[in-house]
Amino acid sequence: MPPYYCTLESWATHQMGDLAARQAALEGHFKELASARADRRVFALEHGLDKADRATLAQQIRAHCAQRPPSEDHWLLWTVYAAELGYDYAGREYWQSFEKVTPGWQPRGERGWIRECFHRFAQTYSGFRPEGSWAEHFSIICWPIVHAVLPRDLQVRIARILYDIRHSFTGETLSDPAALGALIATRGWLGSTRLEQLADDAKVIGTIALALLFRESKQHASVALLESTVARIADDLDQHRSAQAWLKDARGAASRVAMRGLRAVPARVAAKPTTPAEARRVLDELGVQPSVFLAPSPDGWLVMLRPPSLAPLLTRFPELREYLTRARPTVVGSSGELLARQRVLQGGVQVRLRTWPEKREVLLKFEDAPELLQVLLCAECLLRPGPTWLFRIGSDKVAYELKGRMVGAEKGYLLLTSAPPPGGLDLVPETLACEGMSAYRLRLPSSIDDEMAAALRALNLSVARAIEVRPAGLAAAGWDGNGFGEWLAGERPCVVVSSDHELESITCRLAGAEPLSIRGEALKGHTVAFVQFPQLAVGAHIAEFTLRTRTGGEQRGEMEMLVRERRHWAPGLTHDGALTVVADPPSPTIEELWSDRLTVDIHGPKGQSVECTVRFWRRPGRQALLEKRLDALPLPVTRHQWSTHFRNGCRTETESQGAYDQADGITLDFVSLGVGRFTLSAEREFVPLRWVVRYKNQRYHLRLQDDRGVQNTPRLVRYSFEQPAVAQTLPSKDLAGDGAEVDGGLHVALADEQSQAIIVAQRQFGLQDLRQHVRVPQVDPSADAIIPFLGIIELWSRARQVGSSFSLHFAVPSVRALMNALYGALGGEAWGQLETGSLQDLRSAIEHDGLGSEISDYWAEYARIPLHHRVSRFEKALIDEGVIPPGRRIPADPRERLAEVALRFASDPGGVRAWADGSKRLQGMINLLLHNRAAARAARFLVLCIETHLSPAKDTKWAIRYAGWEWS
Amino acid sequence: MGDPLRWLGVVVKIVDRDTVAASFISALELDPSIHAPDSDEAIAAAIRRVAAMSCPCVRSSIVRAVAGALRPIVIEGPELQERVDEMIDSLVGHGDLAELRASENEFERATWLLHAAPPAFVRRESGAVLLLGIAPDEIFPLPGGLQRRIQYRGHVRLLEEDSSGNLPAYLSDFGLLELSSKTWLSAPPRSDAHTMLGEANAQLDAASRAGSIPDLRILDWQTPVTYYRTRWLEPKRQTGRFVARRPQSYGAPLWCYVELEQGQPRRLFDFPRDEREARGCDEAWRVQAAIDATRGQPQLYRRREDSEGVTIDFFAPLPRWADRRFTAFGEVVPRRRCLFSRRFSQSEIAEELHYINDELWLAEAKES
Repeated sequence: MPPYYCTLESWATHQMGDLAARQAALEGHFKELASARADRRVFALEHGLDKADRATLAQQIRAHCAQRPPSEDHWLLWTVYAAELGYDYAGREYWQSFEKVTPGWQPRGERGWIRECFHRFAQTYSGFRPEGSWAEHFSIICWPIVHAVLPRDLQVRIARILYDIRHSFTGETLSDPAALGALIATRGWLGSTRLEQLADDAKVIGTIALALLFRESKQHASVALLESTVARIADDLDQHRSAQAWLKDARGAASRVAMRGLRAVPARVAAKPTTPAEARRVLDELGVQPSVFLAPSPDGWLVMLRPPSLAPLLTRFPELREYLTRARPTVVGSSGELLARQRVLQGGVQVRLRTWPEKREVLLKFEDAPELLQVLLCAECLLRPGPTWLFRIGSDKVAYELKGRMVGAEKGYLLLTSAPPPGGLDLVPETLACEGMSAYRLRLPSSIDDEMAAALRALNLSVARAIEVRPAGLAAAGWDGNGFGEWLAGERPCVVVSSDHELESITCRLAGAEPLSIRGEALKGHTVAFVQFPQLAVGAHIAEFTLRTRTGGEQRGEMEMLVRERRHWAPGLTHDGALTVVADPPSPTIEELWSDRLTVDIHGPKGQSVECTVRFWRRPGRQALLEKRLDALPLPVTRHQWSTHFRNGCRTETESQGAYDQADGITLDFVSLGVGRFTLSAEREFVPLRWVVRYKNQRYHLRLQDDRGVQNTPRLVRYSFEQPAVAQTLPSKDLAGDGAEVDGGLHVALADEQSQAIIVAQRQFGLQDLRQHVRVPQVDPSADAIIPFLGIIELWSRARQVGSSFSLHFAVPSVRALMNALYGALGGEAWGQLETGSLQDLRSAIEHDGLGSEISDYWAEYARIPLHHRVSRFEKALIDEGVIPPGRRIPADPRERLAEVALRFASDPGGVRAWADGSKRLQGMINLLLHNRAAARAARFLVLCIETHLSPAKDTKWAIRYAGWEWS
Repeated sequence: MGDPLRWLGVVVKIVDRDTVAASFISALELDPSIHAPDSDEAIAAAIRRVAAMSCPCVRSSIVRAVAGALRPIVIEGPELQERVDEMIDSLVGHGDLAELRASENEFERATWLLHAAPPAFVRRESGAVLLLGIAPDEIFPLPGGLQRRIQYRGHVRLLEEDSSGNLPAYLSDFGLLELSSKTWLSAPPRSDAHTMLGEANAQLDAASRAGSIPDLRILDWQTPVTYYRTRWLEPKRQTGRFVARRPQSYGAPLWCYVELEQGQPRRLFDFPRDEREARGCDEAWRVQAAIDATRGQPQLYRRREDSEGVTIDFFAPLPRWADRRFTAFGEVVPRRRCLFSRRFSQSEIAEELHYINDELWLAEAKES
């Protein structure tokens, strides 16, 4: 598209004139822009005004508003004005800033009118319409923010992401804004939920990215943004030295690809595979393959699996992103431990297989996986077909799978087979620490006779002849020494082909390319030849070599080249150092961090230590509020150790609590010197309805920030620590506007699905046992009474807290009292009373003695095993003791399985409503427990035992949730 | 299979050795007019590249990959593999790689693995910075403009301050961790050769008895100190205490201190005694320097002067902390008939010679 300028000639004439003339000038500009744009959308920021014009417009709008209400006659000016404020929006507050810089707005203006202006803009000039869940939640401010194209504080992040993905640019991704947007979306958002929400529409973020990449060369046809708008964003980016450098490199990479030609994505690529064959083709193109190796150990050979990174799938199927970022799969045949969220997208996972997977068994097991993912995984997330697998023992004593299944004389091989050992070969049994498979050391003589060759052929193995192909110059990663190697996208693999004999000709065939044939003189009688491949597309490629010798013999060999994307590096996403930090959720909010809903496991070499620096920051520009260095911890660090360490070193410190209340984000920087580094960023939850906390003169002030864009105001209630089940209504106006000082307790803004709760510490308190002062009424043992009670527990257990750790100090006894009351209903009144006593009392109240013994004798074992194994073991105990009658069918849906329902209610009653996903099912669960009270009691006993095992008594007063029950 | 022509206008072609070598050097972002494929700089960069793609992995897989791919394009004998192995030692000592064991993973626990150290930098007094670490698949995560300013000297990467100033803050923007030079240069407490050797001997006295060790190799103190590689021998009928390497079930051979009687091991213990403080080789080289010094045959260095400063040639490897010190205060320069060389300015040399003589127990070689 030719560059489109609108100088708004009339603008200068009317610079000091009235707003009507400015409105007319802008109407003309946008009309012209919309007609030139054809089917592409227009943004309000594409007004074409320069810096001085923008300042004048703002001045005039403000002067007008100070005198009289905003006029319909100036709707377009207000649209542009609102978008300009969106450009400077840094994620804190839109309306407060809007009101502050626009005198007279508060008494005269209406937020809904601004939305109407944008609606009119969309209708009149084909303006962009924000869509998606965040647009529903932020129904007014989504308009000025989206129409700001790329708000200033997100620009540096986009530059960084483009730099990170520069090696993944292809003619296809750079030809289509939606394809580039999808590629950007695969790389995470550097911890920014705002950027993620903005990029909900891949096409928008892709358009902006293309505009920035091709700004200078002006060579891109798909960029639908006014050049002056792009120039403005790029100029702002240039103010940041690092962003300038990132963008420069990204542009360089993009123009190199563009020189080779940009082409539209063929329809076949976008098509979803429906058959295994189609899926296999897709996965081959994306280079998604698992690999296996055998590692020696005192227990025999360990089978180690490297599951493939599934990140490349997201470039082709962005719809899988939401599922894959949240899912926690297990590896079939492993200990059954769930992989942390997003580990399958990061790659580098190495898992020991204790049992050999069944034929055609998909290696990664997801719960409720979308059908598309199931089709894809069924095609390639499998071990190569058996029943024999060939491995070569390397000089490092590790045995690597030989995918080419080719053997040579006198080399060390291991043969794995599930069938009886074949005859005709020299096979020595080896110990394999994996059930369902046997290992043999295959010994081959210096000369392989026909009989042995036939025996090898029977195993689908072939004998390598005197031709050797191996990397030359640039080494391949993962070269198996026998024709399989891995290169990075953008590299030009080069191999040396050699033979024992003088060569007459070499022919190399690469699928899709003309065969390369070199004959006679060109070879000059050499026995080696260097073959250079061009830059290959990401995926697997087979090169076949045929060498004809001067004596007339012909030798064939083949090489498989796997070309994969480069992993981008960013502290926080890199898992290949010796330090691995597994955070769940991987992109937490600071509320999750502060309320101990984030689990952090730190893995690394024993004997080394890790230090963590906690940085509290505030927007704009991530200004530092406080930096706190925690004491070093010896590696490895369990989630419980981390939780205690963070609480003692940071959360309970007064200055940290103050910083938390003011912060927009917290960054945890884990450093183990010379070993590894990991940075985890947590941002304030970006939701339309939120509590803003201020701590002043030892008093907490609360203000409700409401960006939902609806007329009705939320109902405000408070639950006190003493009576945590009794709601007191608060006047809504008190906490709107500038907010007000509040008493301690749980404050809730009730607004349908968007309710927000916060626990505020008591202003004054004594040191007595708070539990004695908590009063919770008895709950009837019926679903009708229990369901609303669960709602109250959910509010308490999912609420965020103010910085002061005393908020938890008060809340924990209240929540525990609520749970005791719940178990008075589910487990029986007597049980509810016993819960405040000792574990021994509870043990004696379990009427199934075998069940009581199972739990009291083995709770430590229960605590050690993964959650889903814990459920299975508990289920078995229920069956063994007849609580579940033998022979009764166990429902497939976990929400109908007594064992899991009982354990979830006992450990996390605040989470069961969301898990049930429907009131009818929730009612069914409660009735299931009321009819099986023995199971409810046993589950509760197990939860309390495990908590005692995992958390020292002094820790339990700081945690609302029970330790060791992180349900997915 | 993917369609290889999806990107291309070019196809597979036969090339000669020089073309492969040139494209190898360019791919490593080195200058083909300065660096040969078998230069220290190229070998170090090739190791860093393979490590960036493969770590964590065992040392031998990197040696095999780098030496195997280099062999067809360089004219060098069997010592190529040895040079790659020694360069890995340098990179581990410098801080680009970390060689660690005792992970929680049961496979890794039994062996030593090489890990890419996190990208970081250390300031030198001159304002320049030393770059350390490796990022996955990137080698070093700096944009092209900065990347082109990196100076490669042996295994060391240096970046000089530019006119815009504040290089450390700029590097931090890219996610590089700043290490304080005090931390990076930290060394064990001072000791003299007799004390150091006495402690090692006392520990060996207390060690349990050892049986026969196949493929044991010793650093024979009876051999000339100026030829490090040829000092390594298979024991025959030697009697005494030796620094040695013994093979393990897999992974690189372990460093140890062994007592031999007529070539037969009697006692031994493994280095390092404390993994948090040192690598096995660091302690072993330190003990060897103590053995040589106390026998009156100290390890030697050679001193050369020219207009650019004073160059010291070393004939035996140095512990990590010593080499880091010379990298921080001196310059890596091409070696000349020695194991490695470092150059110091005239203002620095007196203090560094004092350190070399008193702390490392080396003596100046008399010119023959």
